[in-house]
Amino acid sequence: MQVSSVAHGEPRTLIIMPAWNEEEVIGGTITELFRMMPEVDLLVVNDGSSDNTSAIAREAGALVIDLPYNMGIGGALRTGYKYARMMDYDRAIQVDADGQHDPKGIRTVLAGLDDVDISIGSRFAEADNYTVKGPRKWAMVLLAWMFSSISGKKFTDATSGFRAANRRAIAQYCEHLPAEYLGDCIDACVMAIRAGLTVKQVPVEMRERQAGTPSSNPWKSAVYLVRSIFSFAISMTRKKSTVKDS
Amino acid sequence: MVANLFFLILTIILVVMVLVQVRNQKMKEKYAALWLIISFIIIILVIFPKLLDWLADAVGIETPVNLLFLLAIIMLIGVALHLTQALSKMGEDTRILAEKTAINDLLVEQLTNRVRQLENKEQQRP
Repeated sequence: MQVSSVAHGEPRTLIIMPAWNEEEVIGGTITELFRMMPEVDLLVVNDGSSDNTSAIAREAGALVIDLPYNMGIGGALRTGYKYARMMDYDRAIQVDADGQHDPKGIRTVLAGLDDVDISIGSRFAEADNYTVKGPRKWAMVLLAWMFSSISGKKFTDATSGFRAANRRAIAQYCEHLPAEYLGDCIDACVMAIRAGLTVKQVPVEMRERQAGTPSSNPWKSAVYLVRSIFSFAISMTRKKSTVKDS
Repeated sequence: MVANLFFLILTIILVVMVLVQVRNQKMKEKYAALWLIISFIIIILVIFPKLLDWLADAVGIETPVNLLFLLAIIMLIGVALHLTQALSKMGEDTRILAEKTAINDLLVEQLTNRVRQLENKEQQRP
């Protein structure tokens, strides 16, 4: 079993990288990550890719979990968190496979866990070279406002997938992480906050995707807006869950 | 009277089909129960058509057959809702299984590699 960074008193950290048909970029992302943090445990969750994602990730030196079919980002993430819990990691951080999340930001986001349970690396907080317009922007602003009001902390972008979790948050995610797109970032986070976990936003820089097309057509963005409001509203009505402290 | 006989036969066919499915273990008892209860209600109404007239009168529906349609529609909506819910639950259940097998695959892979390493070490020792 590959276990690194043990028994130095340092917390053991797992990087979770969900990937679905990312063969063009994932090799580069993993190589860059290992160059910067050679000691880290990296788990790629291959979400039923029909291309070579799994083989490329293995070759690049990552641990790979192959899901038997495409389950959506939430399923991939929950699998990662379940593995983290099973292997007794202290912290887990999710990083996109497309290179959008700068490995330099990983330490920054992890450092956010010093005082909260979930640390979200976001683009609009100070460090910023990434722009979004139209309905997508409105969705972001609205969600950020809703998150700020229930968490009591300032949010500028609550939908970022660059987020870290401590043991409590990992346990929470293992139980409550809906499979649907958006469920993974909004629903899961609202449920976590309502279960009493603390969340904060940490400023990081985002890069453009290295390949593929970002979803930015207006119709999709409008649907995104409606779905995110729905997702938020539904999870606010849900019964509060409680986390078992481990 | 002929119509009544026709409905009676239809309902009996429904009951037999449900029972056969249960016997062949193609349908769970709890779903069978649902259909059998519905069949039972239909049979009662076929045998005592006056019951429907009386019911319609009691709730203020002029044409009794409309009450029948209303009940049928409500029942079908109920069944559809129940099936959607059952399907969602099944989707979630398969998800949990899929996650578990995928994690287990990785664990088996890691253990296999480790055993292989240990065996190699053993062989190198004279």
